[in-house]
This record gives sequence, structure tokens and C-alpha cells, in this order.
Amino acid sequence: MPIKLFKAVACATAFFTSALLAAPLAYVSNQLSGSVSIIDTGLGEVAATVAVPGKPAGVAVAPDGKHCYVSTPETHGFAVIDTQTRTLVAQVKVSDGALGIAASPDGRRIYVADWYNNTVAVVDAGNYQVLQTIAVGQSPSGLAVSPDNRWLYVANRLGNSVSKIDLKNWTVKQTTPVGSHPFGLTVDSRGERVYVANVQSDDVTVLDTKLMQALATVKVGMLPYAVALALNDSRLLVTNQDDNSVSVIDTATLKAIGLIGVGEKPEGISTHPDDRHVYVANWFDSNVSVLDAKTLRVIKTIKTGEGSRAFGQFISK
Amino acid sequence: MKKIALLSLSAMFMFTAVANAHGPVRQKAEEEVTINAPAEKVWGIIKNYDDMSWLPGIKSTTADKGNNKGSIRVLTLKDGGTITEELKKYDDKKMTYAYKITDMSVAKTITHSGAEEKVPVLPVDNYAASIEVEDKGGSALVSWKAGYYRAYMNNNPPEEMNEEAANTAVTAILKGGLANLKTLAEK
Repeated sequence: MPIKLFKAVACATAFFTSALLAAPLAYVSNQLSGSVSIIDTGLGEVAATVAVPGKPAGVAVAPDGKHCYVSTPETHGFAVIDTQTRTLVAQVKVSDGALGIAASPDGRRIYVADWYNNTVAVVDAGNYQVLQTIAVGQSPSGLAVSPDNRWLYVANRLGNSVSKIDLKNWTVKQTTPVGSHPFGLTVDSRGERVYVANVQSDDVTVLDTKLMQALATVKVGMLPYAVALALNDSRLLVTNQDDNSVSVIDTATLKAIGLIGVGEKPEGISTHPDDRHVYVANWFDSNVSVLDAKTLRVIKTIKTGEGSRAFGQFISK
Repeated sequence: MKKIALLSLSAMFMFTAVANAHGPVRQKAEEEVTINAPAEKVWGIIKNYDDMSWLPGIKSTTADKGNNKGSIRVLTLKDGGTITEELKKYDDKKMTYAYKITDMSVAKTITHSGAEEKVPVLPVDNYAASIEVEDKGGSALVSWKAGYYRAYMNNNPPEEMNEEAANTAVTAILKGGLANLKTLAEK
């Protein structure tokens, strides 16, 4: 009897603990092998690999963590992964050049940028219907929604600009010039600043979101791809594709304060909910570097699939 | 009956065309070779950016700024074609350099989808590569890596300019170059 009771308690405890302490998952799109690696960030290893047709590229995770959306340019839309069963549950057609993808903070919408048609589609996250298509600048790529769910920022790569979309009426409020070929972007937790990586001019433009004016341009490494904030927005980390490194910028002084060597051709970058660890997908090396934003060191490298891109916010909360 | 067959055939074609209507995906190639010679000797053969005589198929090389970043070199191929490359990184200590193709001559012109297409001597676009020599204590490990897109940047590429053509051509260069480097260094 005591043994039985002990077992039951242990079992219940284990279940309770795992349910409570389930570590956030990182979803890494592997474009060349046509899959998504699901990394258990608690264990620091790949827990599952889901085959995703259509050359998966961009990643967004629903705020409740139940679904992961992966843009699939070859099948003109995005794939939906059920994160509990870790299976592909839907393939949604949006338009020709689907690449950048983001989920709204309230979980109701999915935004998909179309690289060819210069538009952003607003998709209902409940039934996957396209509700609206908004014309933006040339070759829109990175997308970021403000924390208050009011604005959507779009990096227009060939337009060399960032568009600010009003999510109340789905219209572009303003488009502001930034550096040359902006690609990945992020908005801070107060919604006051947008940081965008300019691939061609090797710098990051810092935008004041209220005025939609550049506050600064900060030089980084070669071919910066995407950006992520960590440590209460105090540090901005930028993947430099051609330098195999991540630039670290102090957001108070807007100066580069460090450089972290990662794998070959780093692309997607996302911050763990602990606000300290930052995950970087290395396209050429087909792995992920886990960085400590405090010590500016690589603490782990995790093997993923061929051609890891993970463009977007790819870690669940 | 014939008509139906034709119709369904054309429908199939259309479907294929639609299914493939997407942008190119970046490709990669990576080759390695272990050379039974000191790393310094191997690096000595390839270290001068203005000398690519170790790569089969190259007739001559010129570079305007030697091994300095930004140096532009022109590779003239034995068949007369040219490839222009910019030196992006150079590290003598780490025995590595990286470069990017900025221009190429046309190998041939083909007609595809009713338009004339110029096929470059290396059927790629946006090509960047790096080569590195690693000291393995007496022997050397040389790795040559390249990232690139197919030559045809629109949808539905002709076979001369698709991913397979790009991958085949790049892999042949990397393999051929490293094999010849091994021969030269082990002499």
C-alpha cells in the first residue's frame, strides 16, 4: 500500500510538473531538407522533426503555443503544425510569394507577406480564410506586430522602407525609408521602437514608431539578416550572414558592444521567453547556436536539418 | 480521344507550371579534402587571390588590390569566358578567404518561354564562397563552401539554369579544384 501510494503520488507529481514546467519549444524551418525541427529548449535537443512540403522558410508561433505556422513559398502559403501531436494539420494557400509570417498577440490573426505581389495578407487563424490583402512596399519580408496588437510593421526589402499598418482598418498609415534592403525586424516590448536589419548596407536602422523616423543607424557585420531583443530590451542581437557572427548592440547607447561567433550563414534569430537566451539558425551548418545574451557566449549548438532558416519569432512562450 | 489526351496533357502542364511558381531557394555546396602535406604548404598554393592556377580550367587570373578586402579579380577560363569576383574576407593567420561573384560572361543564349535568356559561364546567381585550410598536425584539411541561387531567378527555370544545373556545376568545380590542389601539394 505505501508503495502503491508512493507510486501514485510520484506519477501525479511527474505529470503535474511536466505539465507546469513544459519548456518552450523552438521551431526551426529547414528549407533544403523540407522539415521543421522542434527543439525542446529545456533539454536542449530536437524532440521531433516534422516533414513540411513547400520549402519551409518563415516561422510564427500562436501565442497559446498550440500551433506553429510555417511559410512555404513553394506551395504559396503556410503550413500549420499542431504542437501537441507534432504533426502537420493544414496547408493553407495564400499567394505566390509567401515568406514573412507573424501571429497576432491575441491569436486571432496570421499575417503573411508576399514577396512577389508586394502585399501582406490578413488571415483568420480560426478558419484560415484570407480576410484582406494590403498593398505595401516592394518585396515585403520581415513582419512584426506591436505588443498592443495595434500596428503591423513590414520590412520592404527592395523598397528600402518599413511600412506601418494600422490593424484597426488594415491600411498603411506610413512608409519610412530605412537602410538598403531591410529584411528582418522586431519591435520592442513597449512598442516604441522598431529595429530592422539592412542586408545590403550592413547596418541596423532604429525607428521611433510614433514619429516613424530613424533615431539611429548602427553599423553591424556583413549581410545582417534578422534581429532579436533580450534582457529587458537592453540588448539587440543581429545575425551577420557573411561574417558567421552575431552583433550585440546596447540599445541605450545604440553602440555595438560585442560580437559572438556562431555557425556558418546565421539567419533566423529569436529570444527564449527567459529573455536571456537567444537562438540562432545557421543556414550553412544546419544547426542552431544557443547564445547567452548576458555573457555573450555560445552555450550550446544543436543539430537541426539542412538549410535552417527560421525566419521570424520561432520560439513558443 | 486525341483531343482529350491533349487537353489533359496541357492541363497537366499548367498544373505543373502553377505548382512550381515560386522563387528560387538558396542552394549550398561543400567539399573537403585531406592533403598529406603541411597546412602552410597547402595555403601557400592558394593564398594569393590573384593566382587561381591551381583550379583546373583557369587560364589566367588578375586582381586589382592583391589580397586586400575589396580586391576584384578576373578569372579567365581556358574557353575564353570570364568570372569576376570580389574579395570579401581575407585572413592569412586562419588560412581562409571568402569571395563573391560580381559578374560573369555569357556561355550561351537560349530561348525560354519566348524570351532570350543568357546562361552565364557558371549557371548560378548571387554566389558567395569561402575556402579554408586547417592544420591537422602534419596534414591539412581543406574545405571549400559555397552558397548560391540558380541562374534563373524567375519562376519555371529552363534546365540549363535550374537548381540541378547550378549544383552540378558548382560541385564539379569544388571537387575538381580540391583534387588538383591535393595533387599539387603532395608532389
